[in-house]
Amino acid sequence: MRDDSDPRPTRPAQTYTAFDEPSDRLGVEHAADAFPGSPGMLFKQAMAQTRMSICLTDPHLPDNPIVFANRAFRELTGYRDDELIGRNCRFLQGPKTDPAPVAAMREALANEDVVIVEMLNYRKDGSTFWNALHLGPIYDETGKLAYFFGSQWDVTDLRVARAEEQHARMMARELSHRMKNMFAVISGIVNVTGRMRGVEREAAEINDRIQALGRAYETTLDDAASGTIEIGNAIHAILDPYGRKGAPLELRGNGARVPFSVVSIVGLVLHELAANATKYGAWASDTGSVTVDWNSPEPDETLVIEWRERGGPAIDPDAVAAGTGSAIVDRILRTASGTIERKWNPEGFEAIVSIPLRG
Amino acid sequence: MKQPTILVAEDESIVGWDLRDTVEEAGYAVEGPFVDISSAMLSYQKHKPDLAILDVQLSDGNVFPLAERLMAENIPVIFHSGHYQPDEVHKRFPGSTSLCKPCPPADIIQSVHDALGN
Ligand SMILES: Cc1cc2nc3c(=O)[nH]c(=O)nc-3n(C[C@H](O)[C@H](O)[C@H](O)COP(=O)(O)O)c2cc1C
Repeated sequence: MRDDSDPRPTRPAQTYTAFDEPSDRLGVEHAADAFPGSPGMLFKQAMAQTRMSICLTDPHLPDNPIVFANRAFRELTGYRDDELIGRNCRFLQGPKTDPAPVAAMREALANEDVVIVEMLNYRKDGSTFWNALHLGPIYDETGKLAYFFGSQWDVTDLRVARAEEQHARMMARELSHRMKNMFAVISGIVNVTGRMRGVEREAAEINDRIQALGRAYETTLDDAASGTIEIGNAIHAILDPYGRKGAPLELRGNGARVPFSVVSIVGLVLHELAANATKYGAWASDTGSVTVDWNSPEPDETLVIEWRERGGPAIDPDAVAAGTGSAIVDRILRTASGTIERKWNPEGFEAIVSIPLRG
Repeated sequence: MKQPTILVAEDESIVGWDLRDTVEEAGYAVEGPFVDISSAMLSYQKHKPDLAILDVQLSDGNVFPLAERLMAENIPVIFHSGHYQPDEVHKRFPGSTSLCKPCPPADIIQSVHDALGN
């Protein structure tokens, strides 16, 4: 309902370019909509200001052409208003656009469904972007289809990030495979050599250590990018096989993070403690159990691991000390400026291992 | 009693060698180790083993189709892999045993005993 005395000159049909005012273009002519705060005004302002690309098409015109596109749409696609008003949106598609999402849109539009598709689109300058497009019908107050709206979102960067993440996961998997393979080959060499030289028992002992290390390293792959690793994962992996064989084991450490270099020390030390528990200690009897606690009392300074056995047979410290295991533990810890305190309490063996976290 | 025969497929030769020795020491006869699927398949067609230990990824492809044929003939299969997580393999072959590489010889022998039902 346009007032005839409206002083504005009538605009020639093709001068939309400078406007971002859907109400003009969409012929919002109700007087009420001209007041600030009215739905029409709000719509106008929202359209103009949003950074989200939006366009509206009129399904009552031939080939459902664009009747409105906001500034963000024009910036995204590189077209001016006079280049896009009146055209069907498919002009954004090109040779490399997948036909599947296009067909999905065709069907959704025919059914007046809401749909979200992702496809390759082309800008005016020929460059491409990945368009995550949200399409849907708009009905008038009588429930009749009035327009379709489309909201375009450039997800090119997101897709790159997604692809990189996937690539990183694939690499981690491949790395894990190679690492396991390498440990398997090392184990194989040790076993085969041990048999040839008639020292199978020694070979088996070496292999147990290698395998404990392999399990510990395996858990560090997930953290590879962050520089430090959560030592709890490694501790679980090292000791899990013992637990699985029915040896009661309680692991109760916190999420302490340590530098990667600590993993091999923790791996070898815990392996020896577990091996001794199996041979002489809590796991040598049916009633014994082991509790392992770990924490970093001063983060980035030290890692403390407390090993506590209960319910095992009385241990003869001399028998334990005579094994190579204890010598290896002492030696490794000394090299790393760490300590181990062993206590043969009447209720069970205890060890407190302390490893400095700074080189 | 005839010695049970175990088919071993493993493309890492040292690991295959070690597997063969491990299994032989435990008193089994070994076919292999085969480094690829085609030679493992050939051996299986000539002579049905009582059990197979298969690396999941061999030099000429994935071992699952071979495993399917073996299992179809009720030949138990033990997967020995660094590539797949045991639960992934388990989903596909619910009846199978999976060992993670590297696997201690004692565990391999235990799995063989279990699979053969002694
Ligand atoms: C409101 C609206 C917005 C649309 N926006 C896009 C778009 O940004 N990119 C695109 O490739 N297609 C877009 N389309 C889809 C095409 O216009 C067309 O419907 C689609 O290509 C399927 O029809 P066709 O097979 O006839 O081409 C839009 C459609 C509507 C109704």
